[in-house]
Amino acid sequence: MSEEIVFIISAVIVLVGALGVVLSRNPVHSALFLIQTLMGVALLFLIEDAHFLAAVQVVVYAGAIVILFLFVIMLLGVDKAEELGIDPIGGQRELALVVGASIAALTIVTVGWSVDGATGSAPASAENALDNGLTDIERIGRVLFTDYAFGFEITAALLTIAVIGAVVLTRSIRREDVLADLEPASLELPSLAPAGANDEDTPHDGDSGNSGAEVSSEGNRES
Amino acid sequence: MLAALAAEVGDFVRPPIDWHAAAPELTLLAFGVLLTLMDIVWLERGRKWAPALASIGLLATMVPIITLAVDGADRSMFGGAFVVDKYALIMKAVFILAGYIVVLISSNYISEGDYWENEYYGLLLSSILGMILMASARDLITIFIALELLSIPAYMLATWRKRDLKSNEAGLKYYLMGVFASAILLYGMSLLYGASGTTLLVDLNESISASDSPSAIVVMGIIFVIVGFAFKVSAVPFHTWAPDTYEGAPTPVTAFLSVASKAAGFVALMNMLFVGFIGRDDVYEPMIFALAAVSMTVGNLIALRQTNIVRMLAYSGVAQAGYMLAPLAVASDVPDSALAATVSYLVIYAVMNLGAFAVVIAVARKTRSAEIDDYRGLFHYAPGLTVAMTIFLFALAGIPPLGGWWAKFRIMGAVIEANTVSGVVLGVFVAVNSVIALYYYARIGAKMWADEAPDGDLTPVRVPASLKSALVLTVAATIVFGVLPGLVGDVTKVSLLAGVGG
Amino acid sequence: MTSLLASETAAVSFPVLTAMVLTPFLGALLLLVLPNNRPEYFKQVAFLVSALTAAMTAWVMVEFDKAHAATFQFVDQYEWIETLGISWALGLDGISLWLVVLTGALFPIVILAIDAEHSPKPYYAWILVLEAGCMGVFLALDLFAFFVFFEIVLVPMYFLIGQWGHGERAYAATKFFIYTMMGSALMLVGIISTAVITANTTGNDLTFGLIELAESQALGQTAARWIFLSFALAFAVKVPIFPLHTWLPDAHTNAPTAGSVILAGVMLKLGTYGFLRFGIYLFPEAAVYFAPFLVALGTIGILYGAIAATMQRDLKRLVAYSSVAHLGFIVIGTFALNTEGIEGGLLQMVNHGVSTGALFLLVGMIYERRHTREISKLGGLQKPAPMLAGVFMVVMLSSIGLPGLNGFVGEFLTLIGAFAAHRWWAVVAASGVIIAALYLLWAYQRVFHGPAEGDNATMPDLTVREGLTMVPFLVAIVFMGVYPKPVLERMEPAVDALVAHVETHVEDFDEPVADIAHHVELEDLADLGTDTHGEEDGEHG
Repeated sequence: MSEEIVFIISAVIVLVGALGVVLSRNPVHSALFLIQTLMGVALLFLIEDAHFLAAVQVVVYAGAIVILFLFVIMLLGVDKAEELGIDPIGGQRELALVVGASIAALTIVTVGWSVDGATGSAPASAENALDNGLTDIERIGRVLFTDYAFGFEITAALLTIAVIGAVVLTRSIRREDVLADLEPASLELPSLAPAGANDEDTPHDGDSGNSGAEVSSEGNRES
Repeated sequence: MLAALAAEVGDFVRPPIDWHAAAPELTLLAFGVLLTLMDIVWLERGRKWAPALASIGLLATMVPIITLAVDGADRSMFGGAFVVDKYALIMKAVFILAGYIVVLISSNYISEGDYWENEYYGLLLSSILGMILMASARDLITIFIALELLSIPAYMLATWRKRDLKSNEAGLKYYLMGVFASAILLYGMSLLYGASGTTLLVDLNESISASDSPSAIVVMGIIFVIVGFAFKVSAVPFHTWAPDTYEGAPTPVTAFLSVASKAAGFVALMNMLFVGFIGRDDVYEPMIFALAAVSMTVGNLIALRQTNIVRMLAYSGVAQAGYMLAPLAVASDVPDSALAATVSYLVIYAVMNLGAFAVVIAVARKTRSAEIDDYRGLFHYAPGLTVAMTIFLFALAGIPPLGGWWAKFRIMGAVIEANTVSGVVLGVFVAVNSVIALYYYARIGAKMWADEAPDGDLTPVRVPASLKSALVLTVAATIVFGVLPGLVGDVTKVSLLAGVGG
Repeated sequence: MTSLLASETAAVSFPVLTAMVLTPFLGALLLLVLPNNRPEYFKQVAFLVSALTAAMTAWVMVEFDKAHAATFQFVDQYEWIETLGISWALGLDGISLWLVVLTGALFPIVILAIDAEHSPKPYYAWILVLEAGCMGVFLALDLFAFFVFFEIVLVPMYFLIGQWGHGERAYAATKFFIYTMMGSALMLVGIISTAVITANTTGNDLTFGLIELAESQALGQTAARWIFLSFALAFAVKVPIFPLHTWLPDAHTNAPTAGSVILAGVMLKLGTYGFLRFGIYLFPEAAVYFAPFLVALGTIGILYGAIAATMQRDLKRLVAYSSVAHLGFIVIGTFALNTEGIEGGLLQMVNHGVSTGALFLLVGMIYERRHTREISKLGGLQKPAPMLAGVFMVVMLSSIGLPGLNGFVGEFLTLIGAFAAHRWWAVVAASGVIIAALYLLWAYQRVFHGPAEGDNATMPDLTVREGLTMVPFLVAIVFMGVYPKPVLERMEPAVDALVAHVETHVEDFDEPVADIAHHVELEDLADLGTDTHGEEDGEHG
């Protein structure tokens, strides 16, 4: 009984949020309504004893993704008024209506007429159901550190690499500029010697110093 | 507090870990970390050591691979999600050696251009890490993580020439298509997991191949998984990213993508097919058949019209993927031969294609271009490169006694050995396509040997030492594989998955 | 049919056949490592290597046991790729003997007679690789090895045409390459199918050994026919049989002289030899089934080649088209499927190699002097160059098939065989002999007779070196025309065995016997027929 009450309440939260996303004029409000919807879904997960999923729902969707949305909205300019009367792609509203109606119809048919529920018969591995005294968080923890330990550790490497790559790709300064920043501190400054005077007799180390310095002066000229 | 926690999880037992089996991955990971740390500690001053350290890392990784091979025992960890057997070791060795050659052909290209060097090698190593992990992965999740680990660095490497719009296009296209493919793949995997309740391929196989006819969800799952990998191996009609990406990416990266990344896709596909789907050939064989036949034909026909050698090699790579797919379409009839054929082809293809790209890089050092017309008269100013390129092109075309010929022979042998109509049809497809392919390979040969150099410019091409050693290695391997095919034949013969697939 | 099985012959310990294949190849490698500063050595080294090969060929010819000509002799067999039943198996019997001798003899002459126009090092290296490949094709007793050699020969020829050729050389080289590859690609499917199906049917291990496959005859009728077609396509392109001949005139016209000589002398035989050694031997039933079709194509080829040759303005192209006609004779002889026909075809292969090879060499000499091959621009060459004209005359008459010269014996045997098997096609084919006389004599007349004007009047005659290189051709032409017995008696047992093999394995097939006494009266060629009949009797006796 109590489960049903919670379900009804969270369903209302979800639906109101969903409507709010579509109906609000201000995109920031839409994003906030989206958080409400996602929180409601997290509640639904909680009723099903899926604690881990609920937490992930909050952390990833509400915490990260919606914040990203807000970020983009702010970057694009939250103040710009959107003229909703204009249809940028011809017929898209009609199309959306048809597609939406079809999906709705499909859902109703699936839920209403399917033989053994929308999700099929009993889960394929019934013996794995949550009845051996462990919560789902514990079970996920166990699986992560036993069966999937290798993959889990490798994922750490994957994320690190993704960060490194993202930094490299988004950094806009030239590598030569970095060199220029570094080299003068440790090696002779180019202004002390006339350009090219030491080119012939500088030892191996000075070589890179000189080239770095030359590039740096070029870089300065450009900037 | 901690004690309470410890009590609560007291029955937790650390899974047994065979450190020897995981040693190749751990070694490579350690060197990748070392490269990154070097960058942080020494900043840009460490850059000249980066290629050397990367090479050492790759060669060091060969040590545990060799000790494992000498040991010879099949090892399995995490309930069978991570398996080290002959097949896995061979593929690991291929990835490592291909990676080593890529480092050799990269070092001058990257240091002379305006690129971030340490990160380049770091990402290269991590992509190779994903590949060698893929060779051992026998579980949906491990396969997916390995796939992402090898793909994500590759996306970034493709766009390494940051200020070149073509490179940006290359990276973006590759990334979008790759992510799209990953999503489809993941969807397929989740369907399969839903149908079987397990991520282990062996258990998955037991579950899905039990019934006479597959359920709809299994069919969908298999199709999506194959489509996902078809993107990775650039099979038609999922090849559209390849030519643009290959053309725009830095050429050493292109070589890496066309060889190692493609091979990794095949390894994953073979793991799935031979371990996961083997009893469900009624679902995947018609699909692989179509992919193979269409890939080789379309790839070759489009390659005929290319004027840029990298694009031509891209389309020829599409066709080659078709050849490699062909034995997989008869995998249920002759599993051993089919696997051995595709693995042989992968090994030999890696060598000859890397070699061809090494020549492209060397020639571009002088001509600054990859247009086929700029290869006119190459013989008159770079006879060594011309000979090497001719060897690679003829090997790709499958002319005996070069390596590619043996590879093609294995492919044809496997499809015909199946003794089915579809097998023989595929054999005929391969035969006809090798002739089409010969046309564009021979055309380049004719341009290099028979024509005069443009503008009569006969200044020689200066080939740096590392590039030269890459060329020597690949030429030697291409010839040896052709003359003494027993070498690769014997190795791939014993590397059957049957023992793993159960 | 044990007679065809490989048997150990008189204590051959030195693997002479392997050496014959590998010597030119190693010679090519040796050339590559020679220093560039003494280019005159390249030709000498190449000549010595090919002469060494020729010496081994001569030794094999002398040691050849003609009493057991039907068995493979000097057999070298080593495991190559054990897991797939592939071995390096070489052997020689009466069918391949003379082609091997031809190959061994032709290459030193070609190397000696013609200087490289430029870049001598790769030029001679490619020629030696070509020699190794041709030797390999004629000697291979393993389908895998055979296919490898069959393909290898394309590469040096591609480069010889592409780099040292004239005119549209890149086009001609690529066309040659693609055409021949097109044929052989499907043959690979056929080869693998043969091995796989045989292994499946007999339950033995997979093998690519020619003898094992041919003797087991495990293919079903339909499969054998399809596979025969895949082989036939490869060989038909190589021969070439009409309508697959279009690459030949281009390749010949644009090839350097050495390329033309080798192409005509040796490489075209790879196809006809393939029909005998692989087509008929492996698939006797299919060969019988398709024989009328191939005889028809051969006859069309004879007429087409002859008519096309008549209309050529380029001397080299004319000789190229005459090759198409000559090879038509070989094809109809081969697919007469009786001893006379096959023997005639085989002899004609050697004859064509000698006479057309010599013709191309002579045309090359004329081109070197006059820098044109247009018949209309030549004329009256007899006066400034009587030696050249004389040699040309003899070679040309041999090509026409004048009795007393080698061409006659082969052509006549061929026609006898074909007449017994496919009478009307043979009658039509015989008219090709007449047209051949027409176009060759007409060409001779236009080139050598009449007044010599301009550059023609001052054309130098044969040099001593050129004259010497022509001597072996003339000797062969006359010797084989007057006394073909040593050649024929060495091939006959092998040919008989092949025909018997066909008879054993094909139900209701009997060798179409040439009842000469009866048919000859009906034929215009009656008087010629009795001549050779006598000759044949002699050799049987």
